Amino acid sequence: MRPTLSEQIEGARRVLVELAAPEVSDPYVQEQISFASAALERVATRWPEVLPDLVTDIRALEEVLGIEPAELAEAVPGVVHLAAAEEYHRELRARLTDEIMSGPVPSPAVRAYLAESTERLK
Amino acid sequence: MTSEFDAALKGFIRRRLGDVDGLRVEGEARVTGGQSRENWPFDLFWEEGGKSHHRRLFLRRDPVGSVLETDRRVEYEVLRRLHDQPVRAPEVVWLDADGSELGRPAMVMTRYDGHNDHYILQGGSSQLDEDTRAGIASQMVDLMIEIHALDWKDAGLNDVLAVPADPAEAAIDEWAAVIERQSLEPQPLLALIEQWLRRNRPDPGEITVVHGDIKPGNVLFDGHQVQVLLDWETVHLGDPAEDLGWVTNPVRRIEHQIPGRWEAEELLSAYETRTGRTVDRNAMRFWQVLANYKLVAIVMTGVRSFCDGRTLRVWAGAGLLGNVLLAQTAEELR
Repeated sequence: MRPTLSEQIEGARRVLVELAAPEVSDPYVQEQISFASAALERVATRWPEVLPDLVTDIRALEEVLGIEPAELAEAVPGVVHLAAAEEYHRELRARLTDEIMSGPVPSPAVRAYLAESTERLK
Repeated sequence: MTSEFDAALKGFIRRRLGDVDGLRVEGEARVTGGQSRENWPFDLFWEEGGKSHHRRLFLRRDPVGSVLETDRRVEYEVLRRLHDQPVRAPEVVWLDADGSELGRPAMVMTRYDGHNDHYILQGGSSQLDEDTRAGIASQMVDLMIEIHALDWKDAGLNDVLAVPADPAEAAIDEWAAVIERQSLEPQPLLALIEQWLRRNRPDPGEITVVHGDIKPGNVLFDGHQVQVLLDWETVHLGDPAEDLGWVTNPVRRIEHQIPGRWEAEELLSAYETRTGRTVDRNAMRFWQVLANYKLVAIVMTGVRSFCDGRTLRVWAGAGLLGNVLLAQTAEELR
């Protein structure tokens, strides 16, 4: 549906940058507007990828932890439930954190996962 | 300043100056640039003993949500003890340690002339020629040496700062605790980095004052001269190599180096030549990793402040630093 969420977010960003910012003389407020603008720009481009990237990361985590892929809860048939997936993802990351803290030097596979994950989820 | 804050500041000052006549505070707007403190320059006027007085002052107050949660009392007491020492530290005037008078913990310092230019070595707003910039870079090393040469026992700093038995271990413990306290979610990457740091920490050596955040952005310049180093909130006793790791951290290259002219090796060599100390390059790698670990802790503190609604600054995560840390620790040292 138009305007898409991305277009609406971009529109809100333009209000900040093109309408509000030129009216502001306080450099502190200007700085905060620039951070807010950058965040809106990031969200506008990134939000459609959040759920697929989260699922990809869950599968990569399961592999590096050596556990079987879980069946993820669905919001509607065929669509993963975001909040449930985030909670499961958090559990897996906590488990990996515990393994790293209590185990020997982590394997190259753990490092590889962390590098890919950092790129994927940033 | 708002009238409420103005009244609080006047009351704070009056309680210290006593019943003087003509007390007047002329304030300017809060200045930007400090991520961890609110900065307010102001001029103070009063009449006393038949004379007019004027002091140029600077108020630094803890924000509601910061990137660093440090104790104003410690910073104040350190600076008070450094006032008569051969180091370019600012003069502190008054302290509100618990924020009972100014809303949040704050201290008032003498305001110095001079300008601040975060990226002066790369051009920054000053746009100086390369020889002048190299001269400033060299002065930054002298400034660090000045701090490391301080007789901290004579200055009484051990009354305020802990003396670590193992500075590297103390530094890991300190920043791991910040990460533990501030993280909103599990951090496997930081767990891996913490373990790397613990496996690769250098042996304890000489203990000196460590500033913890030496950079042009914390300096006031008078022309081309380094005049005073502000912002001592991370000062502690530790390994002098920690400051060297901070300024040679590849991520902060743009602040501390001049490509092809003054890079990490030139900086370390200048430090070695002028101090007679030998800088262990393996230990330097540890301190550079620690520098980024500390930066991640600072970002996490900012993220938490944002997510808790205590700051209006919208924070992104620390993804870039995570990648750098993985690259820096890719091969084990031992």
